[in-house]
Amino acid sequence: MKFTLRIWRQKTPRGEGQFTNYEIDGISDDTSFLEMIDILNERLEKEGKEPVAFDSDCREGICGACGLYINGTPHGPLPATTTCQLFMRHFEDGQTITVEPWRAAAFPVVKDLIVDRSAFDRIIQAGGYIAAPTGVAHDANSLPVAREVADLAFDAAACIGCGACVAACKNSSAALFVGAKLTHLAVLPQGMPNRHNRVLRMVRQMDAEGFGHCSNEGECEVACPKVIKQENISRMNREYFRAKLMTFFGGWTD
Amino acid sequence: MEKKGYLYTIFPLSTVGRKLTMALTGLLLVGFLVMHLAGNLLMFLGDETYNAYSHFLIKHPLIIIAEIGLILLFLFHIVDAVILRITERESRPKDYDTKKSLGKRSLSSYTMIYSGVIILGFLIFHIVTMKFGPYYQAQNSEIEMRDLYRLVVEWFSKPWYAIIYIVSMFFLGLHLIHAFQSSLRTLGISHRKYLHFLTAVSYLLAIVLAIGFAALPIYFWLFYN
Amino acid sequence: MKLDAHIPDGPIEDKWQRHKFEMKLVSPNNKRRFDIIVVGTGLAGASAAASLAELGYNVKVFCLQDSPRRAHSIAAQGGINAAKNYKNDGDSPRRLFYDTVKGGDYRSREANVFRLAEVSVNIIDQAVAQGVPFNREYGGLLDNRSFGGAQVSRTFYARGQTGQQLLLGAYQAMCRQIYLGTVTCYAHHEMLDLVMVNGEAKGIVTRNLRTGELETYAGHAVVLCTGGYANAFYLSTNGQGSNVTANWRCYKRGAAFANPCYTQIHPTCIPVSGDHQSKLTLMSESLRNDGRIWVPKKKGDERSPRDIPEEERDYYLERQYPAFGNLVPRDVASRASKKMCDAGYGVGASKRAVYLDFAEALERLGERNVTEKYGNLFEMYERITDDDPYKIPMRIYPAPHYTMGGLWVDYNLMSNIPGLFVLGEANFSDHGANRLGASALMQGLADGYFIIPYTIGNYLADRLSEKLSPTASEYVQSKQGVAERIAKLLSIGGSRTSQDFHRELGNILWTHCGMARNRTGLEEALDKIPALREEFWKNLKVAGTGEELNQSLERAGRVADFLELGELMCLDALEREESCGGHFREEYKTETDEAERNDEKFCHVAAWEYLGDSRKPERHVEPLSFENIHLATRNYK
Ligand SMILES: Cc1cc2nc3c(=O)[nH]c(=O)nc-3n(C[C@H](O)[C@H](O)[C@H](O)COP(=O)(O)OP(=O)(O)OC[C@H]3O[C@@H](n4cnc5c(N)ncnc54)[C@H](O)[C@@H]3O)c2cc1C
Ligand code: HEM
Ligand code: HEM
Ligand code: SF4
Ligand code: F3S
Ligand code: FES
Repeated sequence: MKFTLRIWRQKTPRGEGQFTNYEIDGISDDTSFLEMIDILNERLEKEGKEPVAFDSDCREGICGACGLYINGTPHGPLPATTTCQLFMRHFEDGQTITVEPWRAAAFPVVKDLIVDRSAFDRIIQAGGYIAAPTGVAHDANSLPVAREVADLAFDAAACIGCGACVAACKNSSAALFVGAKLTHLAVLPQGMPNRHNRVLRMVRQMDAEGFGHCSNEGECEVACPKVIKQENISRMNREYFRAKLMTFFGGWTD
Repeated sequence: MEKKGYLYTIFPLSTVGRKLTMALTGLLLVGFLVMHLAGNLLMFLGDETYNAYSHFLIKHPLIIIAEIGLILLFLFHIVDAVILRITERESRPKDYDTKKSLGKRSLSSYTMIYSGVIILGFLIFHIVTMKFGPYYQAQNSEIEMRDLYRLVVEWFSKPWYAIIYIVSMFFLGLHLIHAFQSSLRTLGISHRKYLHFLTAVSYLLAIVLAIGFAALPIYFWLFYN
Repeated sequence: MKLDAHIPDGPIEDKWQRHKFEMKLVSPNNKRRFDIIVVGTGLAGASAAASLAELGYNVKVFCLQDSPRRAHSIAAQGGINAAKNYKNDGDSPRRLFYDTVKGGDYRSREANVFRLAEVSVNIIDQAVAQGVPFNREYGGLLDNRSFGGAQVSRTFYARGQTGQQLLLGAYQAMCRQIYLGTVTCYAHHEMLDLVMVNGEAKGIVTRNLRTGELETYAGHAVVLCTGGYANAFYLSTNGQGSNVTANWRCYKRGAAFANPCYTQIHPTCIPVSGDHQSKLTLMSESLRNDGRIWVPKKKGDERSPRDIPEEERDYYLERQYPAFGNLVPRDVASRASKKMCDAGYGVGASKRAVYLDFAEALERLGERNVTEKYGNLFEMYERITDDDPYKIPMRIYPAPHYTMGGLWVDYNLMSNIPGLFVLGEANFSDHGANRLGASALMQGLADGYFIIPYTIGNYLADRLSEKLSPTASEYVQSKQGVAERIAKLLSIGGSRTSQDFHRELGNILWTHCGMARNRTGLEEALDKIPALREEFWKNLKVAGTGEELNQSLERAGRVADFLELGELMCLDALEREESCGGHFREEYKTETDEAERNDEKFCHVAAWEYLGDSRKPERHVEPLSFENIHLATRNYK
């Protein structure tokens, strides 16, 4: 197959970027999107030009490292698919494909298609955990958890931290990412003790990083390769509301 | 949050807190609209009923509190809307070159600020022309009261005036389609089980309010004379 | 070099308890005075960083990825073993110990394995307390499944994403410590050298992958948790970034590299489809619980698998190993597939694949149950191959997956360099010549949560008065060395990319040091690899500069190390004149083509010492003694 790639090139974080066109030919349809860029890169390297920088690691849709904005959609046209799991058979021969990095104030471009997503780490650091010191845990089965609850927690915990939700949202909101982590930890009995200060701190950090608010548009849910549901955002709001009330009237501290 | 400019310092709230305020004020405004519509529909019952009703309202001792409340609702809702709009801009300084809808957003959801501004414009126009418009004394009544019925009918018989109303009501409906379901989500009310139901209610409410309000200018402009 | 494993005395059940009591302690207020460097944020690294910081040490943690949450542990699918005996099917730490030693073909250290089995139960408790959402039964209790090579149900799992969930648990525990200021995290920093002061590990040199800046960090101890080196084969189930560089730098600083030839080839992976391919995708071993493996009885049968009637299929694992059937250990299953394909029974376009068929399971369990158990794997398979496993059997073939070999460590997980600890897949300790499914996650977390927190104190207790001087000449020199090497890589200006070299190296290793090895092949590889390496240093092409984000440079540095490691793997394979676990020498096999160990001559660990670039490394041995388990031939029939 043959494609025209229109790729965003930007040398440094503060530098100016622009699109550069590359023609690429002889791609078999079982080549993944990233492998196609690998092929392009090897060619560029041989020509003594700088290869296109992009992030990836596991290449099986679980680490969340990859993430390209392909022809106007995060992770490309297929639902529930990361960029690394997207194969060229889903494109048309001869097509022009525009490739951009995630764009958000909280995700500054590092180089070409790589953005800095450390804001997500800082949100988790602010409160996205259950405090369980090593070595003092009770027997795992001493705390049964209804399967429905465990499933709900799991669905939310499946988030891979790729940032596609932010990329898709008109407000660059991280609400889906934060909502997913909050849901994972808030529905489990283990997560109860930290419940209130967890949401307050995570939301505070989310704002400090410069993510926008959520207008409940729902584009993030469609963009999310793990199909994290929009309901998680509602749960974040609920948790937040409750925590505000509890800290205001109930004597909890954050 | 500091970095988000002046408005933030006078009204500091997290994005989530701000959305909660928007949703609460928005929902209360929806409540006002429902009442206002119900009252306005009394016009179909004739001038006496309507004038009596509005007289009752205007002269009610608590009306001043209600009005202040209403102003506050609008104020909070609008200030928040503007601040959120600023954050929205700041959170993506450089936009995409090629961008597609993924299918979940709606015309209503991404035009909220525009429909909102139109509603605001309408509102000012509406209050200036109605509340602070010409004062007619009601003719056939024992006590002294304002003939609002006449005022409304006179205004609506002017086609340009009626058209401004009808068009504005379209945007009100547009705002409300997303507004109602969105506010419920914001308040934490959403579950796969009844989500479709809430969406349906949202559409229904938007349509009923928009058509309900628009019915008056349409009727008085086209059919009354 | 002296290899003393420091195994405590006493009966095996008491060794760890006793050792824990006998080890020296560091008092809480003194812990603050120690800086510990942890390299790697996989299960081993993240759990170690979190636990050490909780104890009060100052921890600096490093990883390659842009976030510590993306370490390759995230990709583990199937599950984690623990001898909880929740199923009441007769499991116990002792049985897990037994299974692991046997599974490793009697090439692991009894005491280490016993401890692993012993602490395995605590891991599950710890993970659940952190909120790891393991699968549960309707009663709300934890669910288990059985995994290859075991006859009890002791594998805990979180759908097909067990590694992800466990890693997120450990990552979040570490994040909590970052928030508290006890851990400082350096993402996108690659360790490129170990700094030695007076013969002890006292720091590292890193390159900031975003800016290209070289930095040195000092610590009273260095804990290496950098994962495995299966990427030496170029195509493997590992992530793009997985590498041997950190380990190799330590090897070159004097750490012994143990059993480099013990590599695990996983039987159920999606087969290679072409040269463009950058990785091979694993299909979890759990699929073998319900899927049946077969090839057509007729050679070169071109019919679609659905048209081949039952009696013309050869369910060769069930036929050859009636007791374990499709659940034989990985090495056995992989070799059997290779044998069938070598003999011409392979299927698919390349003829290097066998069928993994779910037709029977779909009938027995119904589509709903199959979806519930394997839905995400089926989806992944379909996404990659465009074939629907509900309708047509999967095609699978073995692929490099895990490396049992690694840096040599003693019972305390310390290498022969004092102060250098090695955890997780990076060390060699617990799996012998073959790792059982669901045991790597267990080992990584056991090392990080439950072993290093004790053993590191024992080392540090004597070094209370030690002051670090990060500006000392040793640090400066190490950094200088790294800078020179980078400059050299950049200055070659040849015409081949590092990927190209890597591909060729991978080919050599896969052909000669893969699932089956023999003297001629290994000797050939030992000729080819040095030649390739020589060409690499003459004809490499790297774009860009060292003072910026430069992925070509990163890759080139890693390939350079693989080119050295590859040679050592072949050397080790050549000198181990027996077949055991994943190391199958065609010269040493039984009449039925099973691996034949030579316990008299090779019941030991081979640990290689680096003696300089121009000299052959020296092979040291640590004898293995089996006091609790009798050496026997593995039998899965
Ligand atoms: C696809 C797949 C499926 C698997 N499934 C299972 C399973 O079901 N059950 C099971 O028990 N095991 C499984 N395994 C094996 C298991 O996942 C790994 O052995 C284990 O996770 C390794 O953990 P680790 O912490 O040692 O290393 P890793 O998780 O590989 O982490 C290595 C860390 O070191 C860092 N690093 C590496 N080099 C450097 C350097 N030079 N400088 C700085 N940082 C560096 C990396 O950034 C990373 O953070 C699977 C493995 C794969 C590949
Ligand atoms: C066609 C429909 C409408 C008619 C006939 C109508 C009529 C009126 C009249 C007669 C008044 C004056 C009452 C007074 O003097 O106290 C009034 C006030 C007002 N109307 Fe409307 N209205 C309509 C639609 C709307 C809509 C759509 C909105 C909101 C978006 C709105 C908001 C208001 C407000 C805020 C006031 C001032 C209330 C007060 O001061 O107490 N109206 N309306
Ligand atoms: C009668 C008038 C109005 C009603 C009933 C109303 C109602 C609502 C409601 C219920 C919401 C949903 C809040 C949420 O998502 O939680 C909303 C959102 C919004 N409103 Fe209004 N509104 C009115 C007027 C206005 C005006 C005058 C403006 C602006 C100038 C405005 C701007 C907005 C905007 C921008 C949003 C979307 C906020 C977001 O991004 O999520 N609205 N409105
Ligand atoms: S919620 Fe979905 S889109 Fe957002 S980071 Fe997580 S996995 Fe990616
Ligand atoms: S797209 Fe954005 S507006 Fe909310 S629902 Fe998703 S974060
Ligand atoms: S590379 Fe890991 S999710 Fe795509």
